Amino acid sequence: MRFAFALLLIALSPIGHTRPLEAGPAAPVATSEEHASPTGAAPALAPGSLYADLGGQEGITRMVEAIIVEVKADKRIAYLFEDTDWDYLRDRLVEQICELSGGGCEYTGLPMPDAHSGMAITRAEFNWFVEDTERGMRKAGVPLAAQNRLLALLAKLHGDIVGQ
Amino acid sequence: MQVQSIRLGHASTALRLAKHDWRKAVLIAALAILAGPALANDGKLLGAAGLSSIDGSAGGGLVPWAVIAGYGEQGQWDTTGAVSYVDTGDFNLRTASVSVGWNDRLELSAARLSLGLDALVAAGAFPDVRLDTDVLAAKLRLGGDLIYGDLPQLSAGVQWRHSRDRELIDAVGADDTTGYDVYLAASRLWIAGIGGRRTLANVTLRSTGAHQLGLLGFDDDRTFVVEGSLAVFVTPTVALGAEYRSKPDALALAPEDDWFDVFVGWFPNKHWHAALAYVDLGSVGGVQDQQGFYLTIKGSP
Ligand code: HEM
Repeated sequence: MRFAFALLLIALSPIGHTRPLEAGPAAPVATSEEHASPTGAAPALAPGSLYADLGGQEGITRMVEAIIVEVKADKRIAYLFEDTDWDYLRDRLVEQICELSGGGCEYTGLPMPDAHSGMAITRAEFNWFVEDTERGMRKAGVPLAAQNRLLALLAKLHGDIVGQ
Repeated sequence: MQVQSIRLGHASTALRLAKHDWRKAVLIAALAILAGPALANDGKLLGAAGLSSIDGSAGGGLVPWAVIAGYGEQGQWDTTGAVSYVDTGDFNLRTASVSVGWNDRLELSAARLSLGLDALVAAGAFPDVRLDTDVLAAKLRLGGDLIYGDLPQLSAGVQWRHSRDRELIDAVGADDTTGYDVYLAASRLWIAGIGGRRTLANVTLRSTGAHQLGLLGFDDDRTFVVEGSLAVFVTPTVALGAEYRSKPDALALAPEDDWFDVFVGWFPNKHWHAALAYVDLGSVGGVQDQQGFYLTIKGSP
């Protein structure tokens, strides 16, 4: 029985190693991208940083657009976005994800509790939004570990968003 | 193989009555899936409802977790039906269970466990019948959260068990045909856990008097046991994991060992989950070295 447990650990261990960067072509583009950051701060592109794994500014933009497609199509939560200015929301989300992932941007939108106040977003709705985010990231080709690292950061905002 | 003969010829008539009940239990499980709520009941993230454990409580295969059965979040409810099959060559165990989870707060479940004593029957030590035990259980989420916030999800549960085979219980020297377990479970799922993969860990503390889940009856004295599970979603729909369930060893005629399994779980969507495990049950009913496979399938509407 110890033996079987050891086998399992061995089977799992390669997953624990750092993955080679899959976002190669996208990363360099980000440094020269004009909308990298309103403050002009240089995006941190340390290899293996989440920002780099998400494909830098270009990758994050493509990913957010894919997420928005999923959110719009999700009948369970679409009712909340009936009057939404999608270009504005996309730009704020790109900024926010760039900032959260260590890309050096500054988020210029409303604080999370204010952005979602009066919506009484439920725990289920939050999870559905997470599912749409996952699907969008998958369709945009974001590697699984990077998807999960970003989701773990977003999950920390749960208390600021649900029930406001 | 070492068979301890249990003389039970006179018990066979009573035991035979229970023979077809297992099929009825499967039917009820299937109906529960079909008759589930038409309301939204998919508020949890995929995998966060766990499987149905061998005792019918939501969890891993062997261990109840702190999660509440089904995919209903707060403000929702969900029903679940599951069947599982364990085969070690010398024994087989079939279980069927139904559960309902309400508001991600309360879980109620019912399970029928049915043990076939293939080796003992073949050795002529036992009449050709199955031993059946019913489990009625409830679980309450006390606090915390599986995924969000700072504290892991903490739940308390009770599993009331009744063995239908009084004559066997008397013959093996167990005290009672009825008993109950109480347990406390803590579960946490890290979205970016091992290798950036969703990783679930669970610890369960249980007080029990049951011999082999109650299939061999109950002891008047209770024992504290510790159980644990670890699972990693190597892909969004496939999990690898291991489980450990320590057991009381209070029956002289049929020594009992801790249980252990390694499993691969498949979660294609929120309606169907399946898991295949290699289990090591140790000594069961006087027969040593019981290893084999465990298959479980769970459905929700
Ligand atoms: C961690 C997850 C989330 C993040 C990072 C996030 C981020 C944002 C941001 C940046 C804005 C714009 C703020 C501004 O107006 O300046 C926003 C607005 C909004 N969010 Fe979220 N949000 C999250 C979860 C959710 C969820 C779960 C829902 C609903 C299911 C939701 C619904 C909305 C709506 C309806 C708006 C207003 C859009 C409009 O202007 O019409 N958000 N969110």
